[in-house]
Amino acid sequence: MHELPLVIFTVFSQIAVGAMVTLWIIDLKGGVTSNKIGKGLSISIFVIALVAILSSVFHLGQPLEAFRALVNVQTSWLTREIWLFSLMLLTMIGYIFTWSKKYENKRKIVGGVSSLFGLIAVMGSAMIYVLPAMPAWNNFSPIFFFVMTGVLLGPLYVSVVLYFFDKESMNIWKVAPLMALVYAMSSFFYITVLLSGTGTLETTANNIMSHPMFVYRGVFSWIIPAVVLLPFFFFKVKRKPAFMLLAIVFTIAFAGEIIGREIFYNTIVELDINQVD
Amino acid sequence: MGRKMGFVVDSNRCIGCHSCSMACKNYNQLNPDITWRTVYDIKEDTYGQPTRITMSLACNHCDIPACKEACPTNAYEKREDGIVIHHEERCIGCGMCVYACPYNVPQFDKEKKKVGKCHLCYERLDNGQSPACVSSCPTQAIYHIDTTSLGDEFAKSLPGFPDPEITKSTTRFIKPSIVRKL
Amino acid sequence: MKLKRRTFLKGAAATGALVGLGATQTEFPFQGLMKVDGSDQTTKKVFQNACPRNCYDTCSMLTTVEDGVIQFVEGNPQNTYTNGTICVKGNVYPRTVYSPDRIKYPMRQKGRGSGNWERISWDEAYTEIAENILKIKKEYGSTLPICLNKYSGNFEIMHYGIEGTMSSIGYTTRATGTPCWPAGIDAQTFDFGTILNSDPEKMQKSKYIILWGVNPAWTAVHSMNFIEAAKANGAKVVVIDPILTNTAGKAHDFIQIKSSTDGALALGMAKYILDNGLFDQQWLEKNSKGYREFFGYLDNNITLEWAAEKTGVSVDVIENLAREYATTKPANIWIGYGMQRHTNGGQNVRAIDALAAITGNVGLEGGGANYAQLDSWGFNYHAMIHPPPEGSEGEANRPVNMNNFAADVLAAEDPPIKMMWIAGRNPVQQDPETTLIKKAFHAMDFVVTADLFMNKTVELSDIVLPVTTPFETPGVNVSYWHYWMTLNEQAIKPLHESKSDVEIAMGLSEKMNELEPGSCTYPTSGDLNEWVGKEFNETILEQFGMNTWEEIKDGPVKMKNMEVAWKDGKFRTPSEKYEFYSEEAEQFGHHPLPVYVEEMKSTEDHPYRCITPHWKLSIHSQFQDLDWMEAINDKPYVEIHPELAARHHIKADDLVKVYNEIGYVTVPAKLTRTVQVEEVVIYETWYKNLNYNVNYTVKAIPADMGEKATGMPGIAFHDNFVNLEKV
Repeated sequence: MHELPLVIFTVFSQIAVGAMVTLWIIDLKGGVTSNKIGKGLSISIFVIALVAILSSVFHLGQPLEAFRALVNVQTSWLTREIWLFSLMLLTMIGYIFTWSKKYENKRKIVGGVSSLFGLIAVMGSAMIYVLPAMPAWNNFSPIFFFVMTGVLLGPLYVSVVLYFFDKESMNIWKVAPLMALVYAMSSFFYITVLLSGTGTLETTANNIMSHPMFVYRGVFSWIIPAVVLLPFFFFKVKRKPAFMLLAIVFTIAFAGEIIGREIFYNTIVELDINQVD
Repeated sequence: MGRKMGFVVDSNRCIGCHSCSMACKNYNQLNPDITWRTVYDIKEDTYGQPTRITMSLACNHCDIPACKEACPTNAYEKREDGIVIHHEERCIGCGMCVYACPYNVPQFDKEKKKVGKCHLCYERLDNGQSPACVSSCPTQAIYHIDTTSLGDEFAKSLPGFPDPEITKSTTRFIKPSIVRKL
Repeated sequence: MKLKRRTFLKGAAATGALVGLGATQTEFPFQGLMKVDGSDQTTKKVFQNACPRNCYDTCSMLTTVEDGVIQFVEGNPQNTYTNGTICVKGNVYPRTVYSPDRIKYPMRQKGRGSGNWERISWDEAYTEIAENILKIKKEYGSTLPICLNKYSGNFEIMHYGIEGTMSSIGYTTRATGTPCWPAGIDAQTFDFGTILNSDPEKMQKSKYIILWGVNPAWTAVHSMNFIEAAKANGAKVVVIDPILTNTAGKAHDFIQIKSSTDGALALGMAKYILDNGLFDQQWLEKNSKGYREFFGYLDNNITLEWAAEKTGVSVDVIENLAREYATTKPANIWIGYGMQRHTNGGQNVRAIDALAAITGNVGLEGGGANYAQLDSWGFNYHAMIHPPPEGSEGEANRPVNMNNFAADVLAAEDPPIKMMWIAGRNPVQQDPETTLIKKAFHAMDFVVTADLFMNKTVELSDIVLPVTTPFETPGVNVSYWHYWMTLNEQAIKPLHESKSDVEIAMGLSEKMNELEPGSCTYPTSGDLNEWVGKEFNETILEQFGMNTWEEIKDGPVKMKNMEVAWKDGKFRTPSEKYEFYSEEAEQFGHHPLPVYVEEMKSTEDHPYRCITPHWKLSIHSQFQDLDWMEAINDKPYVEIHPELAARHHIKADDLVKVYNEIGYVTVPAKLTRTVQVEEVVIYETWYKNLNYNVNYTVKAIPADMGEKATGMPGIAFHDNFVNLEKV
């Protein structure tokens, strides 16, 4: 199955949620110096989330009938995911509104609600893949990896935008290299566990490692953010990476995540007849 | 407890002729690359002595259908008699059921851009006929039955069949006897 | 409360109104648009059909047609042999009919093999064919340079109109013989006087069944039902085969025999039966000729150790098998066609026949040495038999060997062969020695092929004529295994511009007589349904217990009194007895007794035997080409034992070149312990998108027998020796 719309949907929605949560936290700590910047940033996040949702529709055989997917809240994680992202988008409209009217306290509450919906939505969209039919996914890994995409790219995105407008904003970029390390180590751990399994688990791991793009995924998402940004932690003079540098790291890590998600979809081995663990 | 209509696959009588698979296509007029019933070779050394034995599988009409649970549009229905039906007109082709089924039963039809699967020819059953696969089997190796009535002589699985407990498959098997090579 | 979906649909269809019925307004958008099913307005009719393919089972079918379109093809339960079911190939028929790959109209190819086809009208096609025939006749003084190659693509009786086409223009050259089964036919003809098997439905009465070189699980699926029934009644089933087939997978015991040594096993068994006094002296005295000579041969020439050495089957196993077979009655042997495709195939069949005879199993219900029958084929062949035009040169048709077709066509002289008419055959894919076959085609001035699909033979033709499927033209069918006769009704109008072979003959006749009056005797018109009736005669009506032929319209009928072959003990040999000693065999150059003739052996350069049996999803080049079939399987493979594979460093799915001195075929490897180490297996068929043809390596080696009953010896298809190379 060709899953490009799903790749775009998941990565974009996770960036949006990561960024939303980041913005909300920074705002709580008073790190956004101008309402104009806050509003612009939140609108951009809204647009990213909207692009994500629109893209997801093209994954369907019948895009025009997407609305029908709203009905099975009882058991379908896809239905739940759509509702959760819709709620996030709805509350974000309120959030954008509060930036312009300067309702500071309401903004923090609405932002919190929106962030919460987003976070649950990302986990919900991961739950779609937690299936007994997909042994390599039937564990915590889809949730973890989906959240990691948000944690790696969200803060990086916010800091790139903030730096563009305000050189003195908070050091939120520092999250990215640390998370890249965590991400790399847990991915290594995940593949090791799969390899120690048999049947579909082992095949999935072999598929991942033998995927022609796997090395790019590792370098782009894990090594470059860590190697480029970590040294800034140790400079004696309090130096920050330049805007261009952050923007490049973000772009590379973004590419890494797109590749990574493509690998995610293309390497999974399902249970099937004569294909049993 | 409700009925659990399902298939009995008698691998002791199955000769691996694929008639069932093609009868399904013939009756349901499926698009060329779609098959709702498939005849699988059981791996030849499963029972020690290499041999050629087969099992014929379609939808397992599970008690807890993973397809139905994953479907966002409620396109799946579990009838009172246990048959799991996919309502094509409600399907939006999201493929969630394709992911969720441990037996790879629902198939995405590239032409229709929707999913389809075996519905145990419920309209034939409702007319007092057998499903197309059942009535086409030259050795009566497949039949449909209320599986709640079946005893322990029917296995829930055969080697190569994924864990039937995941979704509580209602398919029941009769094990093949193995030829003695002299 | 929920309205039943069906009830709702009916309402919707009747009123045309869709919204607001059944579902509440809020539910509706999420349920999707309801499909309007117009089934109340369609006309639905069920027709009787018969599968005419070259197969034991010749199924009786029922075809559901709605508004002129086939919706479903299924088995007709009135036929108790096919028992309401059809095989995988029969079930693919709706796709055969409506396949986008069908040849839709007559076409002319500019440059044989170029693929440069242009559509022409039937009139243009007839004209070009007629002009070529007349030109040949003028140039050579006779129509002998025209060669017909027609055989098993369609065994429906009206399709013998193809031979009629040729007869009605004069004396022509005919591909004569049959590739499939002639050695066995001759063997049984020497022994019994002809081929005649017991009604296969009676197999369920058997207590001991030996399936000898036959794989009904793939090639006669309905017989498996009677074998299963026999098993349920306590019968033991033994399969003897070089391959552990799907049939063997259903047996109690499997004996893996070295190919082509079946006679040695049978003679070893006979020797044991003789030595232990397990033979039926009374039956032999009363019904046979020459059993003492046969016993003498066994005494002097056969030992169990020799048989074990030859066959690769241990002495214990041979003894046990012989004892069980001789002491469990009735015991049935089904002799397959595969085992007689050898240079000693006929002799091997004779040895097996002898086993059945010495144990008194011949003429016994549930017993016998069953091979095939042609007793139910006594039609008039009205569509076939037409006189040559007045003043035709020559005295008779000239035979060329169908089983050595290419070489014979190229060698024909005085007059040479200049034109070929191909129908119901695909020699470029299915005949041995493909390279030579292609050469023969290229040597022609003119090639006409009538076919359904653009196969390898059509590719080498100048004109192709689109023919009908069984559903588009009427006819009548019988089997060479069971005893049922089935009417084949025209269920739908012929698609595109297709015509039946008889219609083609009529059209050509009209054109020939237009160009040269009196040049063709074939009728130019006639009602095909009436023509079906003209195939019947008093004898066949009586055999099938019918008063008028129209009774067949009520459903399939079975020939009477065929439950047990040779029950009356009236054999059709010259002595009217079962002949262990056959002078006729001697006249045809064989030993008069069923003796062992050495099997063909591998050579140093080509150390492995390559068997090319029938494939489960096709009959020769029919069926596997359809996309519905490709959904089940879309690629061939060579079956290799893991030990042999290791010898050549071949792993599963590796491409393997299977070659010998005349050609090669490249196929992926399938490693399996169900084949023998020194033998590889490739299934013969045709994939429309693959350049795959096993016959590049198969030589036209004649089998030992076949000349007496079929005019030409068979082909030793399975005496093909090859070597392997990983690609």
